[in-house]
Amino acid sequence: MSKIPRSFRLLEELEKGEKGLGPESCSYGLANGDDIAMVHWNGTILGPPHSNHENRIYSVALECCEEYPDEPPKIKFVSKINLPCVNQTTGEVEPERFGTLKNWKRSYTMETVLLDLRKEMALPVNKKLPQPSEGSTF
Amino acid sequence: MFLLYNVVLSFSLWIISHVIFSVIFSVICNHLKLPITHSSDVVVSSTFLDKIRIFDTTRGSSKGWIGPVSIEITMASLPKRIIKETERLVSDPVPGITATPHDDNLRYFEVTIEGPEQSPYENGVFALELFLPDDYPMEAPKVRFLTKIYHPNIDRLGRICLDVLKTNWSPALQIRTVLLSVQALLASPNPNDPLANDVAEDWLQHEDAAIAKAREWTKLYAPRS
Repeated sequence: MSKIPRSFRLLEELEKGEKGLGPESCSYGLANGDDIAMVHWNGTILGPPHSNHENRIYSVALECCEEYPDEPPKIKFVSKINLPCVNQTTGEVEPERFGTLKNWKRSYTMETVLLDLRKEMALPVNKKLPQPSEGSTF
Repeated sequence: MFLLYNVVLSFSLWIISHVIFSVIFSVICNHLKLPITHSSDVVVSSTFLDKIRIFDTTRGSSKGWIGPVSIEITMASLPKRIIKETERLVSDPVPGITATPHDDNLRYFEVTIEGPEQSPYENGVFALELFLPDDYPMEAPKVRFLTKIYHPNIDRLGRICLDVLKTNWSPALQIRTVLLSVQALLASPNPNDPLANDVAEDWLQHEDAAIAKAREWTKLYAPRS
């Protein structure tokens, strides 16, 4: 298999995100349509059902550095959320506490990250955690 | 007793010669910066493959000794068609166009295209990137502008709306023909089949102003250095 360069990989992800080809439970796109380097992205995660997150829409900011996808993106919650892997001061997802970032593979995408965060919210130990009021931000 | 002594002696000699041989072998390997692999090892690091492929594309160099290995591995990794196209891009370049593969990914090219004369892009040099996907040539190359450009068929991220890159791709086309088509697109913008809608609208309604803006952007973002 040949190694797809960063920019063409990100263009593929953008196209999937723009056309809404991905799952309905998350969305993502460029933060600024002029960003030719495609570093800054916005995403949303729809809270999973049967949890304290149900019907909430969480906003996140993603950053794909020069080494992406060899290195994972940085991801930060904009909407306040109470989750063990999320730093409660900054909203950053801490790679040490989130397996998808910790054991990153080149085949993972931003969509993988968003969907796995949603799974994290639905875990039995996390789904009933008390949550900050809806709409509050970090 | 004597027989036993003989067996032990020859066995230890065998061991010693083995150790000496492997030490010499690893020293040689280190010297040549080759990874030490056993014959049962099928996995070869990708950087190693790339190094070897580079040797092959510069055939005739003093590293000729690595030839037989390189050709065998190259055939399996980089299709001959791509090697041939790359060689020809270097030996017989298209006027006004350069395409150079990256050292660490021979399917990924750095491209420059000179703006065609008598177009709003003349005197500009535009940087692009090109990637040959796994299915090339059954699938079209992927091409994108890295230099900002004001053109109705090229969007703000440098994506290009060009038929030969999409529905009209044919395996008979090549890297050079695709890049020539991109150059031709600069010479004849087509605002009726837009990708950048705002630019296309501008082009249709105020053509002179749009062309002036394209010239201005060329001076600003694509100066010939």
